[in-house]
Amino acid sequence: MTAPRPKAGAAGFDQLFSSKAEGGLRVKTGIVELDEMLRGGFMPGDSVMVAGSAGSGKTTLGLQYLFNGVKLGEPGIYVTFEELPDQIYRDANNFGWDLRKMEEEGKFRVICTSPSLMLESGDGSLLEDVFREVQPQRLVIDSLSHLEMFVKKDDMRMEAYRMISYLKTRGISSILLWESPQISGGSFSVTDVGLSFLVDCIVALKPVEIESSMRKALVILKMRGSDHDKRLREFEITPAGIKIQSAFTNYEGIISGSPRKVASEKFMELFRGASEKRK
Amino acid sequence: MRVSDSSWTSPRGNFESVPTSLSSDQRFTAERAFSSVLVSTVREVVGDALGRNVLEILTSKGLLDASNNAKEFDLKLQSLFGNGATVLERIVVKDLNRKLGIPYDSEARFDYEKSLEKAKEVCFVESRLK
Amino acid sequence: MFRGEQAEMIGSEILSTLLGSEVRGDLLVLFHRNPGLIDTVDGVARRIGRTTVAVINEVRELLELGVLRQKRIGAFEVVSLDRAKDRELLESVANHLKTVRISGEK
Repeated sequence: MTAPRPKAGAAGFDQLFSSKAEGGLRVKTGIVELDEMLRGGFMPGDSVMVAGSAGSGKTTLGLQYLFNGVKLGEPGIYVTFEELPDQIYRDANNFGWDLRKMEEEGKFRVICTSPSLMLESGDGSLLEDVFREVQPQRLVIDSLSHLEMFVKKDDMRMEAYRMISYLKTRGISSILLWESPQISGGSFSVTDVGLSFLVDCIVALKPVEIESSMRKALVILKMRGSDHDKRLREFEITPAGIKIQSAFTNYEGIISGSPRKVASEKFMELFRGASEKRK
Repeated sequence: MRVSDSSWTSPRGNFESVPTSLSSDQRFTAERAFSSVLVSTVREVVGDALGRNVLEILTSKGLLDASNNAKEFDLKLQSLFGNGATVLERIVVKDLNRKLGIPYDSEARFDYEKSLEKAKEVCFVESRLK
Repeated sequence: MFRGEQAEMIGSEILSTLLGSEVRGDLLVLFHRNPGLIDTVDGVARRIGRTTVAVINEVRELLELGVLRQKRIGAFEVVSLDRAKDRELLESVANHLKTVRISGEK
């Protein structure tokens, strides 16, 4: 089921706070296993932070979220500060996602601008024209970390709050990408500028080394107003996009950066080894 | 198999011992590779500068068929675009050079045919190095 | 002048304006490849490896033609592609080129 279109004016403002009370309506990512982890999808109008190191799959996740959204009848906008749209189209084509075609159909836009212009546009005027044309229900910002480079540390939280509020008042379900060098320990804080508390949901992507090979892990660190799968799940970037695999149930300490087999699994290995020797 | 001569400097200034000529198979493969890159570059540039509709019209008029013949291509472009032909040719060469890793100097005197010859040479050197 | 002749002239005039210089060609390719680009003239110049001085008049020509549109964002003037107008202009160019004989065409 897709999220409802937001109401205009004061009714829209009220809806902002009541949307979580409306049962059953979720913003699906279209990635089946991820939607299961989210108990159906993100909450409508939520701001979701997707945090991870470079190459962890943030852009792919963001594009897949928007592409699937368009297929569900929810137009989207991808805002990029670094890569040109041409590169985004090419990257998406590798997964079979024809973003240019979606743009021609008026259901999607890739907007490329500079962080300083985005910050200058406090009243949202930079994106107003494209909002009018596309009427987006989903938006991805790639990335908040780029914005941070143009803002004093103390001001970053305020600027992020302004942006999140602007998107929420328009009923847009957003994904904000954040490049974090590492996510470790049990902390929910993935940024060092206090942004974790501003967003409604945090999805963390982390490369992990297990038995001498690099694998990718995804975990939902936070989700306001909803239950969610708390397990660390492995995921792959396949030719069709992100696919989420099973949980790392046989390992612990993955987030801390020191993965090791859980005691029970170690015992089973020893047991299996001993059985083999006896044969 | 041809015997390599003493060290030969490629247009990119790599001092490497490479065979000084290609076998006929290698030459054929290199020609085809260059032709493919050139035609796709011409398509992209015309399409990106003037739109898909214009590209389709010009394709139906046989413009792309002449891509591999610099003189003929230039004549056709001149008949269509007049002075604008040089603009398109410069952009083709710029894109082609970028793909092949050759620097492009927008201030230098421009000769479309010579620019394509230089690009072809680089393609052939790449083939020799493989 | 007949209507057909007027339309013909407009198509060829548009074409000669669009391809009036290498910088203008670069700008066309940049904005057609990246139709969602919104940036200052400085930013656009940087993206095509040119100086602002080299680009500013060419941007002005494309603004006058309508391919690009301008907007004020705070203290900045930004340019972006006017998709609808761009489509219209390229349609005129396409219609003009349909009538032009290419060298060697039978």
